[in-house]
Amino acid sequence: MSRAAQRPPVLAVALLRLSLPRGLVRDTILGDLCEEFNQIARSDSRRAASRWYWRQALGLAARALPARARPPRKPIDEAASMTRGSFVDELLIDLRYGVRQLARRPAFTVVVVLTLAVGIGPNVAIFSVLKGLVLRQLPYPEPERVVAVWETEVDFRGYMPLTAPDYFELREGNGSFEELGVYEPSWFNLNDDGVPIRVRGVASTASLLRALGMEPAMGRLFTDDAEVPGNHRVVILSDGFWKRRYAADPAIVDRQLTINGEPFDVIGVMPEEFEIVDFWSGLSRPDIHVPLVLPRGGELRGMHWLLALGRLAPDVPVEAAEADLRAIASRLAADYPATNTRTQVWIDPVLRSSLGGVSRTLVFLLVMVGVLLLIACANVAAMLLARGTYRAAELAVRATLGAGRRRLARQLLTESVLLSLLAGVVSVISAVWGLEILKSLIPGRIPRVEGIHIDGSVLLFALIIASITGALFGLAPALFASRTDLAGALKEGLGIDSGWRSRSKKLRLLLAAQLALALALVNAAALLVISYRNVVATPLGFDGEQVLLAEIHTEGATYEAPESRRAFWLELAERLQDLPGVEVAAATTKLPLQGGNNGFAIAADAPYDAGVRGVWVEYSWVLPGYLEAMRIPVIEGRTLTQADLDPAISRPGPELQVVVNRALVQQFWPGESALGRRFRQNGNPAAWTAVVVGVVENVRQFGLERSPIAEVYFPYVPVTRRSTYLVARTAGDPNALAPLVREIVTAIDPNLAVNTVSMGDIVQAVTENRRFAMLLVMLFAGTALVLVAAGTYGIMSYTMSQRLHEVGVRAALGADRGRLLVFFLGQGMRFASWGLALGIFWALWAATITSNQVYGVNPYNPWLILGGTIFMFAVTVAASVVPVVRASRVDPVQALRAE
Amino acid sequence: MRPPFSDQRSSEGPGRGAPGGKALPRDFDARVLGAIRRLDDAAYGPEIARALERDAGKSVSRGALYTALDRLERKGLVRWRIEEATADRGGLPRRRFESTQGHDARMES
Repeated sequence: MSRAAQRPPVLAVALLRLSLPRGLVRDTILGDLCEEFNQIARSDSRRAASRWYWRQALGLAARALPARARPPRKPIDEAASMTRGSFVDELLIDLRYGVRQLARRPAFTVVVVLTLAVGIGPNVAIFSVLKGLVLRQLPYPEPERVVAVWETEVDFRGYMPLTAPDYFELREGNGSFEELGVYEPSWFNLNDDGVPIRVRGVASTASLLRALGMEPAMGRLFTDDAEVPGNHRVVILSDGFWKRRYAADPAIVDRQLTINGEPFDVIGVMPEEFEIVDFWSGLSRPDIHVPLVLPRGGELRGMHWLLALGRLAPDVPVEAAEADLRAIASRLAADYPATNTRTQVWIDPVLRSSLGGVSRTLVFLLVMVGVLLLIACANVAAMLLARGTYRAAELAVRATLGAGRRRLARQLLTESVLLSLLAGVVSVISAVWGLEILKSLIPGRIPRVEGIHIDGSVLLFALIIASITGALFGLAPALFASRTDLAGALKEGLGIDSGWRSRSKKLRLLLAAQLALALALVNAAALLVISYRNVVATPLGFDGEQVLLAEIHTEGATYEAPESRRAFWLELAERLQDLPGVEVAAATTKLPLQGGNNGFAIAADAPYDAGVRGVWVEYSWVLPGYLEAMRIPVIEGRTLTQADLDPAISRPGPELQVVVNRALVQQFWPGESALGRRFRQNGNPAAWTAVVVGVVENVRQFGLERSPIAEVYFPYVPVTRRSTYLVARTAGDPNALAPLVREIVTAIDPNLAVNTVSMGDIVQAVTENRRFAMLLVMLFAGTALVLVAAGTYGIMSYTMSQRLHEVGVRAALGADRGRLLVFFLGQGMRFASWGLALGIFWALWAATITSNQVYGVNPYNPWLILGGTIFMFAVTVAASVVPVVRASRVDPVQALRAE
Repeated sequence: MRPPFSDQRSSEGPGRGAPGGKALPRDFDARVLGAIRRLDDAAYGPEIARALERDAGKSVSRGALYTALDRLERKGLVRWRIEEATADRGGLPRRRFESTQGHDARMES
């Protein structure tokens, strides 16, 4: 920690400046607190010092403010000067008066506060999610210097992991990074009490830990020596895992755990806030951290599997560092044309790269809740305006006694801000509760969910948004009410209302505004519902019902040789095949909907040209039976057989019998038969050449919403260290098979942990994100409708109550009830129509924000907007009918007498 | 009647307590006074606070401390003078307190 003096929290200082009387004494107190703050910051931490400072500031303010608010007991001749007291003094008087006003009408206060809370609460909740996922700083020192390094196709910024040889070159050759490290998120088979469990973890270089710059909470970190095979058996636990699994055992360091069948020594525990955020795997807090042993040889030049994070040297801008790395990449492209010609490097600020598309959905939701808040504001503004009728006399009296317009407006504004602050408190309380529900609804693959909670900055956001809200809905009524026509208002106080006409016009304007705003929300909700339906109805290309998957990690010394891994999978599939109830058992390296393992291919007879990218192809390595188990329809030729497996394992550059999908055929040989055709990897020399023996239907590879790209199904070769999935089609409930699978795996190797899931669950999981957003927007739109309906009802009731006399006159002059009804309803609806007409434009504009959330539907669909408009109109009519009917039923004699 | 922490010189004579003062324990004021006497030349706000915290074995609210100092000043028991700022204080001045009762009182403690 630096020795330089630090500044105490700005807000706490501002609070003190506001609450203590200006002058020398205040300055000395601020100085004292600043001095003590610095002492604590040095001896403890800045955080502790800030906590201390806030405590003292609140204590001092609590003592000073009431003393200043106490009504001054001054002689009469001095009282006049009090009306021009200091800002704070006046504010305190206004506050006191406001509290009394609100307490006098508790029902009104409660309704207003709840309406506002309905608007503010979702804003607080969505903001805290945004804060927890996106805005929260990473826990590393100087997090802005931590960046992610990606390789990519040239002229593109794609997310491709690094190869091991490239990593070494980039790390050793650059002059812009203080440290650069790589990691591989993985699952581990951990055994500490006889039953193996699967734990989420990270294998990383020691340089990665140095790049992040975090110290362990206990024990030590591993160093570069641990990357040498033989020294690698050390493990660091996460704080969460240490507490969960080992009950925070203080003697955990030096304990031995069996990981992937080998004994590992626990050397440390990371602090609670440690996280590695990674959208690649949905990881944010790995349970364990082990050294990554990297092969030094060049044979892995084509395999991109390492995620890289680095710490920039001080004062090196991202652009300079990127230029530095790109120079190295260009040199590599010249040195290794076979693998690196089309490879380039780029740098991404780590947090952005870690969240993928999540932030876009959140910003969309934030706009939606913003609209909801505006509706609530308009609603409350209408209530305050209507109440203005009852307060006009009071304000007029105050004005005659000498209160200026600005002074009165400020009083009214203080009251509305007070109301919205109350609503803010209610919102925060309900958000604490609502957030738990929200968190449980957030789809599992989004990292950092555990970081979502209500903290200081969320409270600050609530405070700011509540204050703005108060100003927003309070401003119009305050300006209007303070422009008081004294004589008129005093008459009004006597029961003669002359101001209702202009007031009811303003009320209807507010109603029109609410309708316009709500239309956009209703339209967005309809778009999302249709999109969700479209997504769910997308043909998958396979049948995932009754398919059980078991993810097993063949890691550790036993499975070092690819042959041993293949032997394990063949044996497992064979044993499963024999079980009753299993129709087909096979294995695959990649599941449908979870793509991301790919490369580039060219026709076999095409000459190699470093300037040509080739066709982008997804790779799946499968055991025979996989296509049958997933029921992927065959279009042409045959599926893979046992006979195809054997040539696949013999290296180098074998010719493989493969099955391809329809998209690949369309790109290579459109309109022709693909059987017997050859294509190869785009490399020099090619890593593989393939002969097509069969063509199958396209399967969705990247969730449901992206169209399928070309895909190759290779005969199973345990090429990567990536996990492999056992795939079994069952006659009955797939989950019933799970215990049997576990039993068989344990019989083959007791150190392997098994994680089973049904393919149906995976299909459901990919639509979760969208379902979540849809449900939220539906909730917001529903709330908006309720607010609008309640607002319409309230405004119409109020207007009709003010026009009873007119109703009486019209009835007395012979208007029948039906005509009265049509007349008054028509007047109300004229405003509603204006509002909705305006709303159509606004909804079209808002659809541009919704457009990145829709699927298979035109966001500017005119019929949808028209339907929404008619629906909203119907809601307004329904909400107006009751008050109008009630008023038209009034006996004319009574109505005239009521005057 | 003036708010606490005010630096306008009071028109009230020494010995007249503030109206709100009665609610606070008198012995706290006595302890503050004792600390000022003991600290002698070093009786600045933070030092007084630390001395009180050492004696009491628990933390002392700065709000309570500055209210007490204000009260003691109004009773005429302490006075203060302004001294220069140090780097840690963000350039703000500081007050050194001293007892108005002279050296005899200091010897007691």
